[in-house]
Amino acid sequence: MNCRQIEKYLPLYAGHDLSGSREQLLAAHLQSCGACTEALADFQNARELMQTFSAPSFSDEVYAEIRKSVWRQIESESRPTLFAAVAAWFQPRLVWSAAAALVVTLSVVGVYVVAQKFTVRPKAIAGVPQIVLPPLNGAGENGGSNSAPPEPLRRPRQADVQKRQQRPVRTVAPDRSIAAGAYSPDGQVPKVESSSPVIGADDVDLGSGSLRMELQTRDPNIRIIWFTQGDSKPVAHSKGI
Amino acid sequence: MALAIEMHLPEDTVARNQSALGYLIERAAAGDHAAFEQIMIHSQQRVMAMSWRMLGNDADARDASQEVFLRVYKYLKRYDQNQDFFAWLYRITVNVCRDVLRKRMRQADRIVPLESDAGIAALDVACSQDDSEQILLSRQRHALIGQAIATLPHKERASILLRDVEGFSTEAVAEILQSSATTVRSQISSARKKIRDYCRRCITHGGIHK
Repeated sequence: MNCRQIEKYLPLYAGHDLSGSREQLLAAHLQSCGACTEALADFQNARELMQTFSAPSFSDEVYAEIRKSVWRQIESESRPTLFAAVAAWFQPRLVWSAAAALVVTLSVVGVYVVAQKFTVRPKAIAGVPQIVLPPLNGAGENGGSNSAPPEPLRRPRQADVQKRQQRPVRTVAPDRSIAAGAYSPDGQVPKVESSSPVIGADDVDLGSGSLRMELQTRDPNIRIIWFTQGDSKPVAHSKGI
Repeated sequence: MALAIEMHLPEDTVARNQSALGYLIERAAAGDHAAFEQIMIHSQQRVMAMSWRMLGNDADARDASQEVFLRVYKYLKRYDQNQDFFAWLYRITVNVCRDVLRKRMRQADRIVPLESDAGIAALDVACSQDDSEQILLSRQRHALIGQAIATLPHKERASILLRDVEGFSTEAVAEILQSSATTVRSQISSARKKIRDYCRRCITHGGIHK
């Protein structure tokens, strides 16, 4: 080892802080090197000065004052202030509230995400025409209340209503499954076939002591009309084809 | 506050007998104020001396000592009985002194700039006093080394004080500072070089001789 390398280890050598083998190496060098021995003496002097660096002796009053101050501070810290008490009362609740709100929010979001993921939506099948229904209550496609309903749909409905109002009241005729005969003044008595049963009466007229009844059979060409006057017998008319 | 000091163990007994100290620590951790008072009494000189060496003045040393004991009281339950109590106490002291130094640095640099003429002038004033030569020389050396230590960074200062003044081994210093032995050796080496250089400069300028 040369002097430059030795100089690096001199501060530690002065305090016996080197390992055994390195200390022996330095000791061997120092025996033969005056400059390094002089440098070592400087470090040893400084270290001796360090060891004499004693703190001043403080009186017992100083120590007693320190202990008193410590106890005073411990006592003041152990006594909670009003603000600390209020903060301590609120703090755990706030934490729990925040935690509960977080859990609820996460749960709702989670359920929504899962529901969105597993919902099956109907898809339009190619080639099948879609049914377009007319809007209800005269509402247009846009759903606006001011839009006029389409005319072709409205007219037939009004016509149907008028027809229904003009049409006489129908009553159900009694069941006549058996072929009925009819009386005709001119002696022609047409026969009503059983294949054309009566399906309903067209008119019932209650005049002064007379009754007129029309019965429409299933065959549109045959209509049975009854006239009743006092003790008169029923008369059957048959419309010609 | 009533401080009923019932136990009066001699200081040597506490220092030597770790079991007695352990008993005091257990009782203090359990809330026994008298036991904690005893712990303070038996460790106050070490704490105060270390604080003074680290900080360099009485007022800061008192404040630091007070803060050290407050922290000891606060964290006594965390203290592991297997480790050396005084090593733990020195660790707290070093940390508190570091905080005080930082606070001081923030507020204003109250340390006398040692490399300036003011530091040398302080030595000259000391030399002019009417004391005997030996006492004067001793005071000058004391002031010189104090100023040299004040120039060191915090970690180097703590390492060199624990090693050369308090007499801890390098490994013990490493444990107190929660560092490695290699790092502590490096810090000690650097600190010794700086102190040697500072002393050499001051002696050249101020004429202090050993």
